[in-house]
Amino acid sequence: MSIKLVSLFPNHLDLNGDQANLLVLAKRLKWAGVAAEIVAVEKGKSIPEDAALIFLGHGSMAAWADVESELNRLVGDIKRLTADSTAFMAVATGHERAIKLGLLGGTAKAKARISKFEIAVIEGQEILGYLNSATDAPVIQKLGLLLGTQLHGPVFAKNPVLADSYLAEIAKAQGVDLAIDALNTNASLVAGIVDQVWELERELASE
Amino acid sequence: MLYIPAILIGRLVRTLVRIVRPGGGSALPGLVVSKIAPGLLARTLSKFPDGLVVITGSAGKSTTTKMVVAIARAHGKTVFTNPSTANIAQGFFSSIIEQSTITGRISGDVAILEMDEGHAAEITRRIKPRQVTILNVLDDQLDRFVDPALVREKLTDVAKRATDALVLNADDQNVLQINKEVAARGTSWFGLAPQIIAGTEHGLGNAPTYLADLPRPNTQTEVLSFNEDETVALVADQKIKFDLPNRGIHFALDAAAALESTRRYLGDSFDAQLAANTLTELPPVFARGEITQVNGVDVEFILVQNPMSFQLNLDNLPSDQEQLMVAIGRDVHDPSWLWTVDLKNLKKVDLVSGFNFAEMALRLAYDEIPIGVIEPDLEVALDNFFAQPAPTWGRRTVIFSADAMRRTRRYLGFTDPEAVGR
Repeated sequence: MSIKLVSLFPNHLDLNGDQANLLVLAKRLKWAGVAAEIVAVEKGKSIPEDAALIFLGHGSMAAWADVESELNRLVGDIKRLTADSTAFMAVATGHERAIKLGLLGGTAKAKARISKFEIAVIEGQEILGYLNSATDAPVIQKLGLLLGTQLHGPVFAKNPVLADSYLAEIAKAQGVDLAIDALNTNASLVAGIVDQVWELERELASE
Repeated sequence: MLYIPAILIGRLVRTLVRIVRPGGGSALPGLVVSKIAPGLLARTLSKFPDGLVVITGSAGKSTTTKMVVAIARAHGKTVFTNPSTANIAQGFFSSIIEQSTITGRISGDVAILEMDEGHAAEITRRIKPRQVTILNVLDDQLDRFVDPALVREKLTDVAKRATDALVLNADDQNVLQINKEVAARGTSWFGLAPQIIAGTEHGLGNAPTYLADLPRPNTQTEVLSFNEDETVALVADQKIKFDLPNRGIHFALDAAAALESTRRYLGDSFDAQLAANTLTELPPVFARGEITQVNGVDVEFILVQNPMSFQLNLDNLPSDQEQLMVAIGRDVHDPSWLWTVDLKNLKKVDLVSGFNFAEMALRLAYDEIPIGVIEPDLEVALDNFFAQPAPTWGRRTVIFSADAMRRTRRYLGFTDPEAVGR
């Protein structure tokens, strides 16, 4: 079977390359020998019942003005599916909406904008990304299969440990046993580059 | 007399900077003078008899400004302008220090200035422009601007301050929204014939408005067609032909903007044929697709400044890339946008470098695009890249961002900013 990664309004919600998170998950699954497909849910469409992950990206004010009501329409389905075995991830302005809609915990109240690299800790693991946020929403939060972060852009690309552990949980919920192959050529190339990304961006995060 | 000490200090700083960094550093003298003599900018810019012409928007400012200046000069106008690396307030101060008399005066008919889309609103609050040209709104520099709607708001303020003429891009819905907001009487339009845009894979790359499209206004200047040899445009019903200095749809749009901007500024004295001849004679802009020689071997330098220019350049990239280097520099503050670019035209990259080498390499690795060497040190990378045997079947190309371009230029000894900077 194929792991179905479902993206809500990807043409609207990719302002900072946020959809790359799904590219990364799909590639890591492929490198582990597991079939995966990315399914776009655009306006007027419904979420496939067999979604393994529902992903909500980050968009401009204009993009949200166009899809806000569409997201509201899907909230019931998201809650129903995530109560079962579907994972849910939301990024930046998508994360803020998910909090306000009760899909994720926490608050998203306005505060002074921060625009910088940031390192947050979750489940004892450091997570690196770019934060450009004007709310007090948690930089990253995870409860089981529910993951929310203010770090926009390719969070999973820079944090393969998080990506793989989350993928293993997603796969398990789908009844798939996932064995990430650390010796895979692509995965080990990426691991080496990730170290270099961290070296630079960790320093920038501390500025 | 008031400004003599400030100008002298500014020139001293400039001299010191040039000793330390040949070919670089235009910001510091302006920064110093902007602190000690903030009134100098408004005083100097208000003295031109034909006033101030502002060119702004997310992309194409420097090429369009260069074209407008050349056409105005061809019509006998004496023009004060700024280099593209100095398009915020401190840069204007630097340009004044460079070009003014010791009392801060600059002789000439008009100031034609490229202005950063984030700073133009603040600057034009103090100095009202006679004419404003707005090129576009892109998803660009979001670490600074956060959201394209906020850029659109700033540009709307700039548009409202034009006293005589507003020159707008008919092919960007953001600009049509600006026009709707401003409701100015003196607006005219430039654009590209619809079939030109229809023939591109990624269009012009404007930020989507997600609103019902406003009807496209009638243009006063429109590029009808362009190819390697010839560009045809209609300017106020007169058909002209010229050559673009560089290839690519964005240069065609810049030319349309420049023709309409000069037609409005020059009024009855505008000579469309003279304008066309001027565009044909413009030298190529550095790193926008022209061929340069390094160590006796042809190399194409391609500047990518934002998602749109990266995308359009890749869409136009010739397929015979034998030796390709990509260097993404420190100007890319938040490299997340690299992940929005469709890289499918890159079959392989031989060398990845620049301050943001790692993020670029990571992007390539996840797209499974083969990478030859990852070299963090740009100077070492350039040495290695240019030490290779000359290509035998294809091209040698360097794709770089603005900061990597400046460092490359300095390292390779292209130190004359006029020759390569604009």
